[in-house]
Amino acid sequence: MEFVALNFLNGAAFGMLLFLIASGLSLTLGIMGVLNLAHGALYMVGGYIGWTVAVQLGLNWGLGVFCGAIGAGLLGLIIERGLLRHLYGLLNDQVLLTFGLVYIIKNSCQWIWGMVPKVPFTAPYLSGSLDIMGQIYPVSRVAVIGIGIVIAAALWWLIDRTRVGAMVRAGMDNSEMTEGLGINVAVVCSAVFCLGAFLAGAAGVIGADLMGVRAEQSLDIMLYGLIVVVVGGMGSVPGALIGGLVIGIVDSFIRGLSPELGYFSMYMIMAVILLIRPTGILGRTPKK
Amino acid sequence: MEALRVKDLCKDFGGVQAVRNVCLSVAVGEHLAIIGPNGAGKTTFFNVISGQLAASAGQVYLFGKDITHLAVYQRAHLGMARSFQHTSVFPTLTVFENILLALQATQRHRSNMFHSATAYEYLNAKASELLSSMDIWKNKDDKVNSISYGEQRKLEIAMSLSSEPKLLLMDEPSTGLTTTESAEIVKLIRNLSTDIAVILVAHDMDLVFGVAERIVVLHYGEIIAEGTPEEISANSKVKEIYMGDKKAGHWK
Amino acid sequence: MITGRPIYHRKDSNELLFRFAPYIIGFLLLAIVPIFLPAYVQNLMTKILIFSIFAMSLDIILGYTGLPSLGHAAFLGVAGYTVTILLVIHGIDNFYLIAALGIFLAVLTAAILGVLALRASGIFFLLVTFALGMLIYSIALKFNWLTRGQQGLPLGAYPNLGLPGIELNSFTFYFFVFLVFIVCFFLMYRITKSPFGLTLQGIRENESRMRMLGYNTWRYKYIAFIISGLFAGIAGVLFPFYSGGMVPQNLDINTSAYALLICIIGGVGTLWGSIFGAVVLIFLEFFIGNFAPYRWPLILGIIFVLAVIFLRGGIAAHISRLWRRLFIGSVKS
Repeated sequence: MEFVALNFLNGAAFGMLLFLIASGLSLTLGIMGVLNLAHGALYMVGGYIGWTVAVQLGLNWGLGVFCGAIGAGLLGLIIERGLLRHLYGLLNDQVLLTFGLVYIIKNSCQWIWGMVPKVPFTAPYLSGSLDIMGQIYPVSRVAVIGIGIVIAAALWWLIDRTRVGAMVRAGMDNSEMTEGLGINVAVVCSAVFCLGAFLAGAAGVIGADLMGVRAEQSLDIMLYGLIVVVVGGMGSVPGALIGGLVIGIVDSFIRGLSPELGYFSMYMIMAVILLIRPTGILGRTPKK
Repeated sequence: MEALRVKDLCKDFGGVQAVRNVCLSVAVGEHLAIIGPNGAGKTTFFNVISGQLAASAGQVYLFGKDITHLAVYQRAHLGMARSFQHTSVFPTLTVFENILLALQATQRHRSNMFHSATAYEYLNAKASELLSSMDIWKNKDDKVNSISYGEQRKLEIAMSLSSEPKLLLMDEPSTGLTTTESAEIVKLIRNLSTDIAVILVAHDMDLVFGVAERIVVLHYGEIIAEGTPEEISANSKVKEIYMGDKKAGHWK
Repeated sequence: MITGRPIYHRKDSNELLFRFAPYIIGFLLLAIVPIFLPAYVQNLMTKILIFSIFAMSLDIILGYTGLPSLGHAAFLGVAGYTVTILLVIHGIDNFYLIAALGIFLAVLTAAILGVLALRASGIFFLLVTFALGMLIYSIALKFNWLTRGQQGLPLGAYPNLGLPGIELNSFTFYFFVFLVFIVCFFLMYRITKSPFGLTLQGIRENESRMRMLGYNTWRYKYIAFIISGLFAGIAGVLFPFYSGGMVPQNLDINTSAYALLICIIGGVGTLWGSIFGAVVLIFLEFFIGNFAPYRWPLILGIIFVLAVIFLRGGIAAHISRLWRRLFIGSVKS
């Protein structure tokens, strides 16, 4: 029973992190049709900035999360306005461009912050542990779950309940029509891209508790995000949540049972989904 | 035997019934036009017949064979061809390569990996015949995205004739064409071999009346009228739907 | 009905020269020049040829069929590891045997991964091939009993071709690779010019039209995927002899990205463009490696970004134009 609870919690924490990573990716994919391969790199940048603020400068962890998010968001803005718009309409080229950016951002971060990975860190007030069914469980992990729920709710409210969200949804469905209604789709696209980057940066700092900050994350995290998107459904934020949780929890259980197999669990889940439901759990047809 | 027989065909999208219990048959060599206001379900109907969409209910028979569940690519080998409303060609390839692709589609050698695609003389001859008949032979080495829209349209039609189809589906063939070019299309369809059945979806009434032996009127996915061009132009229900003036000859 | 067999006419000699002279010149250069170059440059040339085969195999699905793959290193890796494992761990010396097995396994990998990858299309396909490529990488990394994992498998020899008295060394290995390269190029060239090759291009341009014309497009994409895996496998069986062994990193995303970049710089959709792309990228990597080795990924990324934004059609487009102008300018008929 403890085994189940422990793995469930671990899986939920990891799953929430996956959701945070994949949500930004899904948003960008859904509204712009662009797969932002630099998403993992933005996560990593957020993590490094957060580390500088929270660990190197010893400031408030929450501030670290915020700075990481803003930093990544700004970088996202530069990428979108400065580079992507030169390739307006050429989706494949845009995707390739973001891939080149991965190398640039990753190597630059290694230049600035060095080649040694940063150990996991979290807020001092989250460092304690809880007693759950006789097992000691870190507060920070629970916090990750909590933060994930809050952000999921906030995103849902933003997309489903606000005018801005309605514009985003309209743009996702039919950008020509939305333009015709007088809504500046280009600005909405930029805003969504930056929001995605912002989320990635925040995830980078939050995730540092589980995984530290490493330059390889620019690709590893990207891979996680991609698998979640394949499983949950392209362009679907609720899909990212469900996909993330499914992967996180299943992965956790498989690892608990057999660490060897655990390494491949994500790929197995992806393969299964591809075979039985290629568009993902909550998939929608991708924007052409 | 009929070229095409459609029985109780239905197509739903979520809650919307785009095609409702349509029953239709087309004789060998007959020219049929399907008209109707926008949103009547004409293109959806075409898409179900050509296989791009799966029918929600009903059957489609091509020369007596039930093709309702066949994949798109299998229908071409049974004698069906289609031209699209939005010109659907191969933009960065040359005109010649375009027609060659259409010609080799039903040939056994299309999977051959060792010979040159342009070495098949009998196809090259047919290609020059088709392109010349459309007056685009002069463009044969031009990339398709560099020729005019009208020429692309003509290429599209030439391509749909390549497989020597027995049933030709033409979706708004005169879209974007000048009146002269449209008239050429009319002439072309009338000169087609008498064993090719043609189903035409169109808004252009000159084209419809110039070509159709029989007209079917769709409205909200249902057939509301069927008959010869004279009967249809006299039909009050049809006139009501179009709210147009018959004297002007154009119902939009 | 006239027979459907292909008929070849005698072509006008000017046209022949125009089309084939560049290849002949290029291959002569590749065959002769390295004799006079220092050993380390010969080594680079060997790498260039191997990666040319690799990148051209990617171009078949990327450029001709329109399927962007970020997992191509999987095929190179499977073939390379097969050869290395059989040679180093099991002592099987016969190059022809181990190479055939290596290529066969690469093809098998393509056949299996292709089924999964082709469930997706467009950007989704890129995503899935990325993940599948990393899956194969994980296997190489984690299955220590098979691949010795992170440690890798060092290889100190050159292929044993079973020719009495002839043993390959670094210099002669280049010519062996050159031979394989010529054969592969010739085969891939024929394939791209064939009806099958034209079909692939049609699928790239407008897949739904192709279906309407009567082509079973899934089958063609699958076969193209397998063929590209085959040629990647050929590059893969040569690779460990050049690089001195296999490490798991040889299968990761960086190798796949490298091939992608070579195609893009060289010119996607033109087979020979990849050769130029390989020359540019590999020489650049070598020079940067001498001055600022830690910054090479940064430079690579910048090249990538610049290539995507500015190099429309790659080097190939510019060379084509140049050749056309030179030729038309000097031969006034």
